[in-house]
Amino acid sequence: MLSLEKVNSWYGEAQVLRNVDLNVKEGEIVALFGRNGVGKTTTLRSIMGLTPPLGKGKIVFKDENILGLPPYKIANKGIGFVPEDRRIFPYLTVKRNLDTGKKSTHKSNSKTKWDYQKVFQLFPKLEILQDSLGKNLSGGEQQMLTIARTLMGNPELLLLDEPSEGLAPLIARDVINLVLELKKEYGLSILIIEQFSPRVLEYADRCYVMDMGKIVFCGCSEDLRKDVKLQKELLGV
Amino acid sequence: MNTTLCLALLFNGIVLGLIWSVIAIGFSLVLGVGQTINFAHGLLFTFGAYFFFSISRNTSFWIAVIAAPILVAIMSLFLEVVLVRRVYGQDPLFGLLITFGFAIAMEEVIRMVWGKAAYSVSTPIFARGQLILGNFVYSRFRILLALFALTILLLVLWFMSKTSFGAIVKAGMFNSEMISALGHNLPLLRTLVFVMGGLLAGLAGVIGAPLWSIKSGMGTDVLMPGFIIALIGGLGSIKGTIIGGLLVGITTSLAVLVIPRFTDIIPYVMLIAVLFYKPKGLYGEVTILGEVRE
Ligand SMILES: Nc1ncnc2c1ncn2[C@@H]1O[C@H](COP(=O)(O)OP(=O)(O)OP(=O)(O)O)[C@@H](O)[C@H]1O
Ligand SMILES: [Mg+2]
Repeated sequence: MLSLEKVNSWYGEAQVLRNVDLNVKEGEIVALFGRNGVGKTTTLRSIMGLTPPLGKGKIVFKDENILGLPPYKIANKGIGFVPEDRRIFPYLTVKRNLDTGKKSTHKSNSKTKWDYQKVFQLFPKLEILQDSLGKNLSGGEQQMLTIARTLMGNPELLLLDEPSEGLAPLIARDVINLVLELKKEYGLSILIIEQFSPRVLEYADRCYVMDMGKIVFCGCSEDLRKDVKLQKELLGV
Repeated sequence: MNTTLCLALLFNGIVLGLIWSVIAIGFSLVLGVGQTINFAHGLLFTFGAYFFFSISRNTSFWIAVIAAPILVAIMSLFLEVVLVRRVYGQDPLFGLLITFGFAIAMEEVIRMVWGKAAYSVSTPIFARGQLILGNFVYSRFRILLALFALTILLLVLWFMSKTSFGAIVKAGMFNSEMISALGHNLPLLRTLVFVMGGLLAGLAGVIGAPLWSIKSGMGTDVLMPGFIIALIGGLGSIKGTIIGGLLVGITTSLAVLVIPRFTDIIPYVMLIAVLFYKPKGLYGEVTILGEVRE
């Protein structure tokens, strides 16, 4: 569904991603782990066209090279981006935040057509809070809202950037369970970033580990679970 | 103190506040979404007034009411596509300078086309006469103009707070990158908002034309109050801008009673006072030119 081939990205003069190869097949949960500052967020930003990669690399989504397209076109192909730090719009209500995720043009192949009702079914808490301003939501609720807002655009592939960061363990667990539900019940393909999370490792079909802008491990989750040395060295577990 | 005089000044203040609000809202939207200080906003207002004057003289009052703002909107589309588009995402100073230069040049064009003399618009027949309440007498035309301004403001308020487009515009002021990542065409959004700002400036020109004498520099006289009100109300808040406009308009008008020679400084003093206590303005959602992340 999505594949990155030799992707190189820079911030100004500084090269952050070096020949990144990565792929997500339809219906998979793929995890990308790595310590602070190794380039995880930059990988997602590169896919979205927010930090466009340079050089000869390729990013193919559903058999089409999307590298070089502006972010809105990439989003309209069916990729949903859930950024880190829960970038909700604090001065819009929950419902109006959801409105910003709706798209007028995208003809989606996603199995579910999301609307308020469907989203509220999945996040009952948001229904209760629908008229509250985004800024008055708790961290966990804001994370739910960021995901819900992206779902309103009917994505087929969801990119999640550290969704459980800074959340209390129980709430973080809810978020990760939800990701699994999105795959199982709604057929979404998912690329999820975490520094490291045993729970994500448990749910992921495959995983990658990144260090200094390079992919240093790629395999099924089982292999990473067994590789205690790698976990210690690269993930600080 | 004379109550009828006070009442007349109060009414004047309301009329002034409403028209300033219409100007300020257009300015504020462009500043919020395009991060551009549109110095030519006053010029667009001036064109609205001149177009209204010429069209109403050659055709009819009602055709002019409709055609003048549309012509100004088309002008602002041209301005956005040719000039302003180039400076998005750059230092706001570029946008300010480029629109400033455009405004100066076009003011010269106005003098070439319409000459240096000031014009005035005559009151249409349906709006002639006075509103009389006891011994208080007030121009009926002014009241109609104020109601027109109020209608425009309420329409914008509705549009921005109830439609999805409004949500996207507001969100775009806060974090434009996120808006693109959610699948919205940011360049197109900015163009639309700029044209909307132009339309509002043109409408303000239509309202201002009968109130003030029509001259090439009239835009400069309203740009500053408009800018100040946008800041007082708080960027991105339509409600704040309307309240700010009325506050500044009424205070400026009533100040004649107390400090007749210094009324011009009232908006500035109010701006300093408000920003001192509320840096984001009365109902501010973003600080000027800043994406705030909480
Ligand atoms: N806007 C930017 N300009 C310049 N350098 C940046 C920018 N954003 C990130 N970097 C640098 O790029 C590198 C990779 O950053 P990135 O945000 O991708 O890391 P990350 O793996 O997501 O880290 P974290 O776990 O802390 O979120 C870091 O060294 C960072 O300092
Ligand atoms: Mg990151």
